[in-house]
Amino acid sequence: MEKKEQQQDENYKSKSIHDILPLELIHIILLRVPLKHLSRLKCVSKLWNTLISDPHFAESHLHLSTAPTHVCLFINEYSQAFSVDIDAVFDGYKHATAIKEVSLPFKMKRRYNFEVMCSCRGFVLLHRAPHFFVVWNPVTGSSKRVSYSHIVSRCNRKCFKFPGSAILYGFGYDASQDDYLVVVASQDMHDQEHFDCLSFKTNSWINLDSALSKPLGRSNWESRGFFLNGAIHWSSRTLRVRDYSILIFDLKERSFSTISMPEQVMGYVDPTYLFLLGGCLALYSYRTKGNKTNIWVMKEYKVHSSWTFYEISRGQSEPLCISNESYIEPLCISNESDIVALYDFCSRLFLNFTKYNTRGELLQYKYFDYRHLEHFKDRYHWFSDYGTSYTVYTQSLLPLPSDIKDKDKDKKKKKNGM
Amino acid sequence: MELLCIRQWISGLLPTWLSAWCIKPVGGALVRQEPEYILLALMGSPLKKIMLCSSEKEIFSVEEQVMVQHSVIINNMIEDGSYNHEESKIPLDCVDSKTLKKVIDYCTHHTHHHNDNQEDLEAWDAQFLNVDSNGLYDLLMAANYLEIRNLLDLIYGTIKNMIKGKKIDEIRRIFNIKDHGFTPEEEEQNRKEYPHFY
Repeated sequence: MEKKEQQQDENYKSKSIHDILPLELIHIILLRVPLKHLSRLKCVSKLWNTLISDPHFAESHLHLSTAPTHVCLFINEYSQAFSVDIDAVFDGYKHATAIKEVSLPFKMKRRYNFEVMCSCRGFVLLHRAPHFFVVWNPVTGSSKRVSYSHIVSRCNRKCFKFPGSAILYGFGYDASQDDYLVVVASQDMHDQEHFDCLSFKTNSWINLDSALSKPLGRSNWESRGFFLNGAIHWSSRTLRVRDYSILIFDLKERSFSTISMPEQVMGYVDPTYLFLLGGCLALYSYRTKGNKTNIWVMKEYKVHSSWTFYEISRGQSEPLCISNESYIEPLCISNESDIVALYDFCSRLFLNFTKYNTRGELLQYKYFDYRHLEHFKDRYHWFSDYGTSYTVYTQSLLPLPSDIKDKDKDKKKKKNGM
Repeated sequence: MELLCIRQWISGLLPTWLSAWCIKPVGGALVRQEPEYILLALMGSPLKKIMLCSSEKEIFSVEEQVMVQHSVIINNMIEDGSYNHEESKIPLDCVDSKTLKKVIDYCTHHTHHHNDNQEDLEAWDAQFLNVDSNGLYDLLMAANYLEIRNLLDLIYGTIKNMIKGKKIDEIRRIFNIKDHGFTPEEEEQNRKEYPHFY
């Protein structure tokens, strides 16, 4: 009896996890692994590689993820790019490795001007001078570059410079077509408004002038759009136009609509900005008088009564090295309810991050000292609020739609013996 | 007599302090422990049991309530009446005796010790999963077959921790992956491109 057991054990020992566990269980194991480990796991075995590379896997992982990884991508005026893993910033062990220099795709030896525009489902949209959009997934590395020169040639004096010269721009995902779209509203040399849409699936521009039922106006809206629930959102320039609404462009219906900001915003003397917080539309306004930041979060999409107010004020306990005049720019939610923000972005010495709870109390403050960071050896290459652009994105493994198409093409080629 | 009436009658017999004791947290919700079980236990009668049969034809007797609470499959079997208490046993052909014993152990402990604090439960779970990888896979497949949600989460979490932060050669060793399936060229390419993974 013992000998038989021993032999069984030996046979058992020589078997790998692939032999013992059925495919569906290995699939579930991989789905539960946090994203940052997945690219490494692709190299463990061919089977794991196939499972992880499947586009449906990336989609399932995105939906299953209870704690998405928030990363902030900065690009300074020298086109140096850095990513900061926001959760790692506040984690004692990982703090030092939270900031990393990243190399941008389509970068030439000459310093082309890159700027971050927006992000969607793990993809970042970059602007690359003179007239290109680059869509890039920093985790998988896949990227694509498309030109918008036709918009430029239509325009005044050929000095169309993103993002300043655009009335509106935005980047989003149309689930009904499985397509990533970039929309741009601009004025041509006759002051005529145009609305163009780039489809990354077909690599072509579509003209959507018909969607403009009424003029947008040169500077009525903040040009950067935010993607949520299949639509792109822009806020009005509240102080300039005394209009307190949010413009929405639905990517499937291809039509515009508006919703209004909470009434209290109308009383603010400081500008109010739109952003995304915890998967919801949000507004923030820094009140210079009183050093407070007002944050409104629309907890239920398009339900006006669900606008919820949070106030973050400078408390007594805040470190003295932070100057009195400094303001915060909210970034994202961490730990399901804490608000992480960039603090005093124009500081010449530190890159500061602060974390607050929903009562606006400061929980943690962490900073990176530029002078000690390897990447910033040359003291001119830090960040400044002029010339540095940034966006917060959540990591994903999603491929660009055309990537899948190309793979099918390759398979067909092999089949035909090409 | 209707079961509900019986229960009410028994509840009436129990002193109030004991009735209060009948409420136990199960899966995050407070559930009334059936008073007749308490009374029966007090009177020394055996609790209702079911028979589980492993792939090696070994029979395990376990409290019905314990398995019903944890295993969706067994719960469904009992509820739709396909299980006859007097005669049948539930055949579990894909679970061997060693694993079945462990699964029963897990379910029993978690039912009886539900009031324990989180730390104690976690310590017990850690000790419970202190098995070799083959034992872990067997537990995973058994928990998957019987659809025991909390045991599944526990095992997936453990395997996830076995993977996190490890280099590829170590992962292959842990999971005994001798044939990784890549061609020699592909393997070399990977090692060149990502030396820090290995």
